[in-house]
Amino acid sequence: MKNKEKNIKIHGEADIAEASFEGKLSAETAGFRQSEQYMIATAISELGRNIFIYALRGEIIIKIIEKNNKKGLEIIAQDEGSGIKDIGQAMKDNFSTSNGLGLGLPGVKRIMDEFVIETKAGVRTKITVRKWV
Amino acid sequence: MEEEIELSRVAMHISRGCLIVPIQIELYDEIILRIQKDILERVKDTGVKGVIIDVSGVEIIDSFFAQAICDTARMTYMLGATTVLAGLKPEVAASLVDLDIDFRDIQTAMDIEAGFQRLEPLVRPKEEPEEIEESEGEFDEDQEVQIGEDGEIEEEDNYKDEE
Repeated sequence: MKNKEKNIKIHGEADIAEASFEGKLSAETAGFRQSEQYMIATAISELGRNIFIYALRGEIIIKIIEKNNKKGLEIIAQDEGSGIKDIGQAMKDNFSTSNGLGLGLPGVKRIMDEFVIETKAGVRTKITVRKWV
Repeated sequence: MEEEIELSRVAMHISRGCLIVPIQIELYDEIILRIQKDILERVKDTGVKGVIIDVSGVEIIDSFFAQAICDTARMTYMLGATTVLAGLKPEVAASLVDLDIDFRDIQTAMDIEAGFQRLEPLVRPKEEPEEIEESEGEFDEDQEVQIGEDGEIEEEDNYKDEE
């Protein structure tokens, strides 16, 4: 159970909170400091919110990873919404296409160590982020 | 005093002239928005001049929650009350900066007590206006003691003191 991948379907706000909470637990298991656990949970909350706001449904996958004896956490947020038309724009601070909230992506990038975004306009978006202990 | 109403699972109360809103749970959007509405109603009904939102029990503040807090602060201000956000945890503050959330239009304080101190002048303005001290030094030199021709000492600013 410990290192099992967690897959949380995002269909509503309660799911965002769940994903965020599960992320916090995984971060704790991976050995992150408490302050980092909560920052990771915040990043997951942002990712979940993006799914909910822009695509309405999607999923968040959380898993503990290991590379060169270093532990880390990988979070994948994917949806089959309309995709992000302009990634360059989306990664700018204060950019938003919906109700005045930022996409939060630049912030997520700052909190995490690695950030990869793949998107096909009109089809899907997949965001992979990693943070190392 | 007042009938006990459970407000959004958050027990708001009034203390030292401020509305205290302790938030101890991770919040869903719906609850956040209900708390926002409740705060505004409470401010309107009671006419308090200060609101302290205590987030010392909150570990995660994402952009939605932050936006709701900022909006609430702006709204209460329009009703005549100033909002102070008290008890931000260091990791929450770090996340908020990473998320580039602008908290400049909201006042913050270490804890509720510091929040009270911040709001004290607004909640209980001093009765007597403070004396203006600035001008004292400037006039010292100009208002020299003048010695009249008959040797009497006239202090020009004497009459001012009597006012």
